Amino acid sequence: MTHNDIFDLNRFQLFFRRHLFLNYKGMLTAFSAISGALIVIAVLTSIGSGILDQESFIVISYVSLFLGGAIITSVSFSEMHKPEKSIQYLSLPASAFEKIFSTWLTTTVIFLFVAVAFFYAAWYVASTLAFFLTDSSFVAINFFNAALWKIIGIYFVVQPVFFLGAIYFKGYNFLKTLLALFVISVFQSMFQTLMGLFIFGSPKFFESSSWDGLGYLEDTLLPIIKIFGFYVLPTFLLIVSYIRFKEREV
Amino acid sequence: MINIENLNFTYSKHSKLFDNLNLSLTPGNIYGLLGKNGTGKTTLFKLMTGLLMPKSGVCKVFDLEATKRYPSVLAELFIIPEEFELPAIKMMDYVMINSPFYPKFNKSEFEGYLKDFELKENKKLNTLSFGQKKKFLLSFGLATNVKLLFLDEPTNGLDIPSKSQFRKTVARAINEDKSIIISTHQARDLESLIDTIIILEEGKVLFNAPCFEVTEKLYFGKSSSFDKEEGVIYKEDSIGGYKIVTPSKGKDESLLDMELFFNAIVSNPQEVNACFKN
Repeated sequence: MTHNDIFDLNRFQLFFRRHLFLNYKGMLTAFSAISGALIVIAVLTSIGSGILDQESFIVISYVSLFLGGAIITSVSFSEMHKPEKSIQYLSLPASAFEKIFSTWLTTTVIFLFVAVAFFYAAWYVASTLAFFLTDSSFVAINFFNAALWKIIGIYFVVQPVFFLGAIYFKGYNFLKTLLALFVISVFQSMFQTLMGLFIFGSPKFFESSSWDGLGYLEDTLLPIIKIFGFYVLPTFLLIVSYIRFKEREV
Repeated sequence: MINIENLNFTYSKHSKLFDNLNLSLTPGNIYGLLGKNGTGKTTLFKLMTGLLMPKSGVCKVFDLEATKRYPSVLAELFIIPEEFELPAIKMMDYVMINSPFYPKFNKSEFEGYLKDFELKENKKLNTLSFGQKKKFLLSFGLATNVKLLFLDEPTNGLDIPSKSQFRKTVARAINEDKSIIISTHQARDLESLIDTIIILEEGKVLFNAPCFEVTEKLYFGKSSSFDKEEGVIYKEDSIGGYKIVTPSKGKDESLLDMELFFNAIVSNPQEVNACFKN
């Protein structure tokens, strides 16, 4: 084995180009459908009030970003799961890292940029339509505010969950990942309740407690939880995805 | 080129598909991998290309473990599965996105193979018939000029002229650096092409020898009557008598009847293999 067998920029570019070429139509269709829906919703709601509701537009855009990203990511390894395609996909001369990295880049990073571009375009198309249909004034929109960076942070945490689901499950990846998330959250709640009962005698100890150490715990634990949630967990999920991908058989 | 040592593989806990399998393949040959249904021909392909992991033992391709799927190894092998699906893109787009992964891909050779198989237009791959798709993928695979080409039931879905063209094209494409491994149960389609026969039976390699050795040691002929005294190892009913396999002692060299040989060794492995021990 040589260093070249793990990551080669030329091979990575070739795989990235191949992945984009085979998937761009599906992605463009998804973006067009989301943008179309956003335009219709924005224009229809403006007809009654005479103004385009920017806040609702941004909220729906964020929901579309999460939902669209999760769905696109969930189907990103469909070539590997289809028996008639998996042999060609897995035997294509690119390393597991190159295949994983280019897929993540397309479904997470490129998707985010293109989605924001489409949201802008959708807003300005909706504004133009509303201007002619309802005489509402032309308003500029700015997605790049403090909320967007928070949303992007959460987006980069959520995406690896669906990325792992896309590799782990062999069909209905999006629904199975949602189900897995639901099951995990139920178990996590049960565990938390039981631990509360076991250690403090009440599952709602923190909510009702006037204990002095609470502030200290919040100051020390919260940053750790944030680091774990925003950095450790997504990295861990991506590493598990890589290992799972490497061990994948036909 | 390929070395398999003590390989064990199983799909279920109760039955082993391969039990301490040992096999070595060298460059410059066209191997014919024969076996009954379910003997593991396709599975062996997948193990040799690292697409399945053995339970124990090792399969090395170019001295590297196949299961690691190193890109440098994958760039020297190409698999044409029995069943496959091609993307809904044009032929030349397929070449544009896939050929750069194979450093020795030759576009003019590819166009030549397409011409041989009478595939002229730059059609969308999903509009082609299964046979045409197979011919396209064969052309692509041959044009990659990889050292190892795996063909799983390559003549399935090909019409009679295409089968003949396939034999000519493959025979022309082989050289001393390359090996082609063909898995088939249609031995008759490929008997003029294959130069080494590998027969799988009950998880082991039952037979592995070049074709010239088979015709050197065995005689394939016809007989109007069946007489055990003639030293017949295997016989099959045929129009006007029997097709027979006998040791070649004292007889002129006969043409290899691969189907007859396969049936002979599967039904009477001890006697057939005994002819090759001397």
